[in-house]
Amino acid sequence: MRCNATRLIGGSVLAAMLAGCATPPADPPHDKARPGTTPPATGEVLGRSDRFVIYKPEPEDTLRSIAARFLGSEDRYWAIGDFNNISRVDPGQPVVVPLKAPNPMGVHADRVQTVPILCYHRFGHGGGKMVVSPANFAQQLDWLARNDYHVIRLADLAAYLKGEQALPRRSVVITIDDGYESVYRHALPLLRKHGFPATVFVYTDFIGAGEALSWPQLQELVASGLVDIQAHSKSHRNLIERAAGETDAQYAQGLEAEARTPRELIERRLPVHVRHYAYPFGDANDQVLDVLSRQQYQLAVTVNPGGNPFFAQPLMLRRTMIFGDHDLEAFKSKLQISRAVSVP
Amino acid sequence: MTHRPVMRAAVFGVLVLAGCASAPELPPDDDVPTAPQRQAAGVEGFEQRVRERALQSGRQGQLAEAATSWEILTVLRPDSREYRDRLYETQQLINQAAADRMQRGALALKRGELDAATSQYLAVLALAPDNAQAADALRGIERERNKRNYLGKASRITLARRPVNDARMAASPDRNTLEHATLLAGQGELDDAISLLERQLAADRRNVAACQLLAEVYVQKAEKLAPRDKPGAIASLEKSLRLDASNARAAERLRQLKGGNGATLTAVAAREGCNGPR
Repeated sequence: MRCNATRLIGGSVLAAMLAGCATPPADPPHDKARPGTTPPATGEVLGRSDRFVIYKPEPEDTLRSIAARFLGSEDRYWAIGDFNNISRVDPGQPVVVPLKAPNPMGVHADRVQTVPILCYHRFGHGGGKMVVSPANFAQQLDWLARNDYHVIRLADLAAYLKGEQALPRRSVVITIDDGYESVYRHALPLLRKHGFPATVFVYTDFIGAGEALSWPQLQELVASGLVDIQAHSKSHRNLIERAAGETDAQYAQGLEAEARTPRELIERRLPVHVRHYAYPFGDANDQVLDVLSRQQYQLAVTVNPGGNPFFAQPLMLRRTMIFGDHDLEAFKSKLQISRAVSVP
Repeated sequence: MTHRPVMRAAVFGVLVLAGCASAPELPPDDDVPTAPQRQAAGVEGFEQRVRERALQSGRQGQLAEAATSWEILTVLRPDSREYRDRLYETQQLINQAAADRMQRGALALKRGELDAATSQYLAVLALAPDNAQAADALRGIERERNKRNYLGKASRITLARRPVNDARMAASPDRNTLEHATLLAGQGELDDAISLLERQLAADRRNVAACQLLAEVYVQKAEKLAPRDKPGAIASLEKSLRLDASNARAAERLRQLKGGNGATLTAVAAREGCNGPR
């Protein structure tokens, strides 16, 4: 086994020492200046290796400006923040810039990073637990933004699951199932307000029906640059159930259609690549996984609750249901961004 | 300040070989003050804090954290022999501890103890984040867990027990309601699932799939109520059997709870059941 200390950890390791052992406040002021407007960092480099830069910030420096100078993109400011456990830099107080992700899988002695994938269905007023009011959704997104959560794209999980790409410590994914028109009416404006991405899983037999999204609306969602349209089957049937009298061959053929038809149709009508799938009823079996793999799907989501560590099975990702009667405290309790590890 | 890397490494090696369960901890260092000191600012303060953190992490057995801190100090002070030595000896400890954990993980896996194996492989990665073998082992364990716990297991007991035979259901928007009710029931939100299905049935009294699912959710509710509310559980089972008299499990459970038999329910079910004129 090869084990090299120069490839060791990081994450929030330096936390207390660099932040002066202070616990970050619940709503920390942070360095999220408008992207693309950050002046380049001009402070002194105190030391440099192929893995780390030790940098002494100037008064005008921000995490973004430091990321722009050393990491190639100011959008990677979170890597410096997470490593040093800070939400902003103090002039003259050195920070460590990790040039390579020192711990891309997020495993620490006491915890492992997990990424919650939130699952919504409808937005509106009344209608029971499966309908989240626009006011509640707005409150939830506001809270995520205020508390430095990074709403990432579902696609970002692929490299993380391979151990190739670190994700921000407070990462979360938003998904919305079925393809109700209320996504367009209520969710899109709120996602736009924060610039948060989301994946909408549609089953294609539903598109254009009474309460469903239409193709022009789907086109507009995609054009927003925030919403990705992916597959939730063709007919919304439970893929592990067989119809009465259905033969093995008919069942296999049906599964192929439930995977292939939505991919082909969505890709024909919208400028997207369909590589992600949400199982109707959250159910799958070995045969379903085989079919999805053959049909080029890379990630698939269930409704098994919990966050996703790096070793989650890409075609069996867990999701956390968000219900209409969740208040903000209940919502916060659903955001599982780490799992405790106890080593015997 | 004296440096004794070889001797220190030997001491740690003994700890590792003694089979200590957790990662070996660095012994106290007489050369370095451990009491909290006033936090200094600037580069000197930074160096002091990183150094204290490295020592503290080592003492706590958090070797990867310790190694990172020593590594950062070698970047800050490339000429420091002490920092290089500290990094080297921590690296040796990590190599030994990670190898030990890998072995324990493999043994646990061989015994089929997935939780124990998971803990060991996570401990390896906490020590050595680039250990691909441990990462792959964890992925394999997760696949096995999914196979055991989820794959092929229907979220709706009713429809797994009985093939789907309602042609209307196959491509109907009613599926949304069925799925949502299933998801609610799966999360333990039984009253909400019942409410949703009752609304669906009120709108379409001939919806066999919704009716069957409602019957099943009543059974789930009865099981939930039984330990603390026997009459409530009985009432819920009776509702279920009125909708679906063929549910042998519900009938048996009702007999158990009532201490008698449920013969009269069959007649009720014939009039009101999911397949009857509702």
